[in-house]
Amino acid sequence: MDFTDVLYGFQVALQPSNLLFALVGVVVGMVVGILPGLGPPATIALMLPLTYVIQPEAAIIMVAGIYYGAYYGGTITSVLLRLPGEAASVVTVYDGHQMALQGRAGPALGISAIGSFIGGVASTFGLIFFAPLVAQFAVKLGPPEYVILAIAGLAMVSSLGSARPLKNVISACIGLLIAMVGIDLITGSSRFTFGSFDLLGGIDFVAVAMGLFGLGDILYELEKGELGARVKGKIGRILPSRQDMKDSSGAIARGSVIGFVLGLLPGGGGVVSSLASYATEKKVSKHPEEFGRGAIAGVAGPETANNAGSTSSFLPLLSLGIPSNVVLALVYGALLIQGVTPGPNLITEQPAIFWGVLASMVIGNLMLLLLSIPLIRPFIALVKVRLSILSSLVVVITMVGVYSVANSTFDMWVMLAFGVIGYVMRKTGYDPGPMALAIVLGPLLESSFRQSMLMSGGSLGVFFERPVALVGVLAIAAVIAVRVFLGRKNVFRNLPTDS
Amino acid sequence: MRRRVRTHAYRLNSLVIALVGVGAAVYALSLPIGTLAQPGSGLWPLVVSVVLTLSALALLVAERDPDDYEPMVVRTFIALAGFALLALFILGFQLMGLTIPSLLLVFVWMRWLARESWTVSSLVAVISTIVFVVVFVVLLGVPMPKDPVLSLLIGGRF
Repeated sequence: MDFTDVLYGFQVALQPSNLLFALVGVVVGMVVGILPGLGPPATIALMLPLTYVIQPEAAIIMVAGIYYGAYYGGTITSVLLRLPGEAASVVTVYDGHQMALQGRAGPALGISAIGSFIGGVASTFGLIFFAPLVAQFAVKLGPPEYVILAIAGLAMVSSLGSARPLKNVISACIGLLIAMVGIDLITGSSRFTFGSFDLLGGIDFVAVAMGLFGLGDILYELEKGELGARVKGKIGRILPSRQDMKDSSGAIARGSVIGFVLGLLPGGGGVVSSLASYATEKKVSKHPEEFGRGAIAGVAGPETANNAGSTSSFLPLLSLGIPSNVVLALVYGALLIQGVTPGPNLITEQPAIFWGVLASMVIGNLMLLLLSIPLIRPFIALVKVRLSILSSLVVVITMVGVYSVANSTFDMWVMLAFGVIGYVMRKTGYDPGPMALAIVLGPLLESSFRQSMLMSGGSLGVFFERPVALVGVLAIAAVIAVRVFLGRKNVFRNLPTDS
Repeated sequence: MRRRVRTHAYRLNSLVIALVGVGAAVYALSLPIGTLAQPGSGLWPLVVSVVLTLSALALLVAERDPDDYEPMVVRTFIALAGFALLALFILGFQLMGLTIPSLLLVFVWMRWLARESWTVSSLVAVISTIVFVVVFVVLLGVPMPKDPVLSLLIGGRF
């Protein structure tokens, strides 16, 4: 890493248009994170058509802003309404909502914003330091290593996803099949097109993502018919007191480290990081009995880890070209729309994107901190927006948005079909995340697998003979073993009951 | 007997997925499979289809708890009606552009799916349609299918 690269990144991120898109991303993310029914994947999916008409670095800067903005938006609803906007905010409910009931919602939200800022910035500096080193190393990786990395990503997401692991494997396999639709790039023959001219170019990922996460979510929530919610208790002063800061400082420091490390793992990101941080804080606390009853460390730690993990999960994407979770798969999709393929060469071929995006994370996190404190009260008013009004507008925007990417009404039908699939998946206990990730990783996985077979003369031993691939295989085996023997329920056993 | 059928109805999903897997495997076999040393275009689809089929069969055997499956309720028809409305919107969009389909979609959605009042539904439908036209057509310049309303109001290319 050269310091001039970092300065160049800030030069890119501080351009007025990029600052504007970072601001738009953070605000849109926060707003949508608060609104009922839409989480970070849905928000990013719905914004994908907009990324098509702006510069690549601006597009990713905006999407990154939505990512951490939406997580903070989810925190607001977790604390005030006991409604986690997405999985990473689930643990915040335990102590954050208890603080709200005690009239201390303000300090809970304030410490979340401060922790998120510190975690996000610490993690960004970690990325600035480590990402170039990983990219240098990744240049030496061959097809067998990429097969293992892609499988590791899918295995981890399947293992940690919200549905049963077997259902996640099924979801991923269907995603891999969908990724094969179109022309086989190696032989030039068509597959799964069934004579349709429209399918020859493959199924557009933007239409798939907007259907699975956007339409699917909206119709599912509309069926539930939940209306705008009412905030209970007083918000109180938002800036935490000196004692609050003292009680939270250790949790914030530990959360930054835990989040950064766990975010690097395939399948990692905010969810695992926040869970691990909560369990750690409870373990190291001198008063573990206070957890679940409004302990501020139980909010500060997970919120810090959540944002640190979300930030560091960009490393596998930017340096290896492997999205480690669903949101990053959508970022991958946004880059592909721009004609940019993420991977080890991104740092040399697209330095404006690589360094600009990293630098924008520092600025975006600062924006998040500065906006969150004065804007908490107006944002709370958004909680009351009725899903009925929101959904009718969002469906038209998504329809016209997906049409605008390629002026194709076929993509509107694709989005509708995947909306139905997303809705049915939610009704039947499947997680659409592994499917979306598999659609993105499918082409890389297949081409790397076939190249590996050609290289090795058809020997599957190629995945065990090369040191990096072998380490990957062992890591996958370890994850599966831990998942099988411990079971997911044990992860939650240390947490207090949500009463 | 009827109760027993209902209790096991959730297993249908694994069966359907297993059938999809078998169908995909049969299709993959119609493509050149090649060998492991020289993989053809059908090898990878075959591998994935086999894993899919085996996973679905494993789920069929292993899944004993129907709690994952949400029952069809009265409000499910709201979601189904929403999908049907969107299909009509796409057909309308292909035939007459943005204005009339978006006005009708927002109005019908709000009035009958969301049970908003006539006034709120009409107001939101009109205002939102104007905003959609300004944003997508005027500001972003998205080329839309021929739109009779815009042709009448603005003329020219619409």
